[in-house]
Amino acid sequence: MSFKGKRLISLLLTSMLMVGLLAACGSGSSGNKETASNGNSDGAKAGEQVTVEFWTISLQPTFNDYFDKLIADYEAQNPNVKIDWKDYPYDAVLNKLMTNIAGGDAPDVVNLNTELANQMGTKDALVDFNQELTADQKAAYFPGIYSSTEMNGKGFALPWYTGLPVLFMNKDLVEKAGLDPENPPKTKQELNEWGRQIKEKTGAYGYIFTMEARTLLEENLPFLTEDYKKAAFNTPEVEEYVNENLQLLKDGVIPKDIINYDKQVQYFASEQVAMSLSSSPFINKIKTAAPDVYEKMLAVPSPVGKAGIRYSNTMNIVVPSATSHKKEAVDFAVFVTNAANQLEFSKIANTLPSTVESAKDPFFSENDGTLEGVAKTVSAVSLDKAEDFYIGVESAKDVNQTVTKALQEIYLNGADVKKTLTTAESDVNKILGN
Amino acid sequence: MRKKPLRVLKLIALYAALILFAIFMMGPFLWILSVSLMPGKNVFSSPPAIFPTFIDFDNYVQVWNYMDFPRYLMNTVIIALMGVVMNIFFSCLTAYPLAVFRFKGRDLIFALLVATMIIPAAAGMVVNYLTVKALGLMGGFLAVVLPSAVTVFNVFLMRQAFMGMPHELRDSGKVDGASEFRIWLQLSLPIVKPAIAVIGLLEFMGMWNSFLWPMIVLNDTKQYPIASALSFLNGQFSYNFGWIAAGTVISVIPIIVVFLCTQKYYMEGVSGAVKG
Amino acid sequence: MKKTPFFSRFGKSEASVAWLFMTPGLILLALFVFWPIIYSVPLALTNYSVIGKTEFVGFDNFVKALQDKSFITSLVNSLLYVIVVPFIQIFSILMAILVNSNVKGIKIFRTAYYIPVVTSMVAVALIWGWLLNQNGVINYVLSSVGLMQEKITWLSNKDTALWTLMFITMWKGLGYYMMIYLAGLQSIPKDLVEAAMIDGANRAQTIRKITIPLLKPYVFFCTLISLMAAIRVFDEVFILTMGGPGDATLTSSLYIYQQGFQQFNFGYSSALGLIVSVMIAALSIVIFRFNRKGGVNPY
Repeated sequence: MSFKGKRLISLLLTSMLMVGLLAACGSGSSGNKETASNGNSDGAKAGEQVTVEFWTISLQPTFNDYFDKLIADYEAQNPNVKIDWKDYPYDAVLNKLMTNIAGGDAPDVVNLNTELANQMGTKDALVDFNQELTADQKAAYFPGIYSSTEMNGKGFALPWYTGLPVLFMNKDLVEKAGLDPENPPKTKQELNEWGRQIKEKTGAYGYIFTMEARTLLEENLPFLTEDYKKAAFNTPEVEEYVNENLQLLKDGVIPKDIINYDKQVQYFASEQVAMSLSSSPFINKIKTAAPDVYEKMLAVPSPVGKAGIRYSNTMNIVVPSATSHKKEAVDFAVFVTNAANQLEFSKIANTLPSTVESAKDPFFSENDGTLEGVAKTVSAVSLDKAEDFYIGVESAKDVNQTVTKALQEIYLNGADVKKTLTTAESDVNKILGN
Repeated sequence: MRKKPLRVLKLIALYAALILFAIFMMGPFLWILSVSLMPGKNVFSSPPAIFPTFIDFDNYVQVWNYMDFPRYLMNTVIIALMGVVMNIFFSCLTAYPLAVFRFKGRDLIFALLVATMIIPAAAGMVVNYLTVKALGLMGGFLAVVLPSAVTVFNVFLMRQAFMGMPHELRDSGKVDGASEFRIWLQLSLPIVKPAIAVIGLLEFMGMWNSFLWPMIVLNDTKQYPIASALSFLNGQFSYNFGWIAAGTVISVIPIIVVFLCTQKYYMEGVSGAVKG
Repeated sequence: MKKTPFFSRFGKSEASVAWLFMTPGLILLALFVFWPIIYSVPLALTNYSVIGKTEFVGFDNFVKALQDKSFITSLVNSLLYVIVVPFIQIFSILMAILVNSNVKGIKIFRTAYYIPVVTSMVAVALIWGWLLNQNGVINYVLSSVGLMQEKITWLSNKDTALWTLMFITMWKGLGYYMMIYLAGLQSIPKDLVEAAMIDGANRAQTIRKITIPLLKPYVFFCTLISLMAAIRVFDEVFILTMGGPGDATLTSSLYIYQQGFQQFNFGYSSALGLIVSVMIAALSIVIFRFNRKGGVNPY
């Protein structure tokens, strides 16, 4: 008995030891973080050392030098603050943020896109910048972009780098269709005409249409009534617009496909489509995927729909309300997005700034003739009118998804236009709470 | 006399079938490989380039310089080995009594275990994060490995393997006065070696490819395994198609090598494991 | 003298020894497998969103689920997805028979067939998405041999999208199951097959009469594993279609994920998870009962 008992005990011990050993080697690196955040918990007084955790999305190692300098500058001006910069890939940042907040490890300053910032803001998870910022500080940003993350009088985010759509054309296909790239389409209507001609003469698709809900807004067809209480898209005007697109699909002017970013690259790179509306990072994708197509790529100002708007795609900086160093975090968020720092970032990343002052820099108006340069200058001119796509309600994501799904049903699944719009209308009304 | 040409024909037909099917199965991988070897060539040319028309290692050199591959590969190897060792150890221990002992509640435990294989835990990632944090493991490799240090699938597999073990073995061990632990270690484990090999290989591959969970629990990107690190190449500023392709090939090669090397053992393994 | 005490002693303490063996593994399983499931029960009664305030909402989430059109669609799609299971078995058994021959270089072919299993889903999605679009290679081939009049965008057409995803799932998984079946084939005594051949049986007959029956335990194992994989399918859908067009390829695990991580509705998402679990549990009880009656012993 005792012999057997010993064996069993040793068996248990072995397994415990294994766990223990591995735990020891595993926890070594986590130790410093614990002490770092414990050392400066709530209510840090002036002079006390504070660590601000700053998260960005997919910027390392490309911009390591920029951030190292930015952080060094800030730390020099604010000796009591230490910035702990972390960068995570796009695929992980949302999951990582959720789990960290759940675990009480929320970062202090975070880089988020507009949709996420609004989603989190409406759940009271973000610090209200309208409270924290002076009127002067707020005025530094383009009002359209800043207000894209404002709801019920609260400002959830500070805009950071942004991008505006440009119309990219495949010069060969356009010229083959007998069109003059020097005189590009200015409206959606002209774009459709160009598309038709390209389809007829070359067999390629005219342009890429994403079928998203936001396309309605670009045509001045609102989703919701002005008081945001009810759906407003079940109208003859929307029907007419949708039918117009159905005809374009039928004629092969636009591809009958769910278009995401990768698909857009594929269609353009394989020269299956002649024109594509996108922002400057698209250039880089085509350049590395299809250098031969890059050579014949042209950038022109993007045509506008009836609403005359061009939606920007902005990356913002937010401060989660779970932060324990609100003052320092807000201060650093302002610093990252200030005119000087935005200008510098735009120059190295070839993006557009969201601050009025930096956009005045000749960098955004001087055209060096390269594709990147043209794309930059033709898009920068509409910065002052720019705003991000945004539906000003709490359940924006639900509403957006419902409308997008309904549009997919119509465009791709051949569903009846009127019936589908009516169903979607009642679904949206239900989401909005009537 | 007449048989020979027929046999040659048959052989040709067999090879033709094998090769056609190989292209169908390997197509996407060959395409990635070709893309990675042909910088400056349109990736989306039609038809897809399954075989490269020229070879240039530029993409490999550049991506190797851009990312710290040796470090990420080393991290992956450590994580994968930890996962393999823990899975083998814990699932062999857990499965053994489920297969050979008779005690109350045995079938209930087994049924419960199998049931969990189909239940989707919606907030599983969040809850596991909280658990890992409560255990004080956050930020270490153990946090990556521990949640999958023993899986129901492996316990199931090992149970089947132990069930195929002859009963007389345990009896004879007992007759010799050996303890249950000694019987397990010295008599039973050698018999299920093939099944252990299967777990080892499958876990190795699983750990090698996992990318989201490591990013959730690791705070320092320097600790990332290769699959997680590769997702940095998909950012809007670092995007380079050739680099992604080259990085993918680099990360798959070790698995293919492991697979080729263990093929014989692996096959014996699965047969031993399922036979039960 | 020595033998009997040992036997009786073991008989008494077998349970405690068993528990000692199982404890380490069970602790881990309890922490990382059972705990999240248990945790989701109270969570399902709240509006837990991680970031906002949490309130108790009673059975609201369950009531909402039963009226949720997308959820019902996702359940139907997940059940339809199970159709892929028998096809996986048939094709992987055929592949296994093909690579079971002893010709030169067969190891290379086995590796080739296994490669889809280890190729990353992102890469797989990229190329299949491209091959399957309107002007893609697949359409080109099908229309040039006259099998098709109108060119279809396979993944953006509600009638083909789900089946196309199932095809990709199958393509990616075949190598995995092939290896398991191959192991089974190799364990079949060669003389058995040879004897049958001498008796005048042809190849097809030996496969049907000898190979398939002897593969039964493998078929059971692979069916079970691929069934669970099919019910929980996520990666392919997430990367290739995101559930579209409309809800045509929305599966239950994708919907559960979307409700949690994209809509910040973990309470609702937990409730959906529980409903799916109960349904699957009921289904498997039926299947197991049926299986026993049919005489196929699972263990």
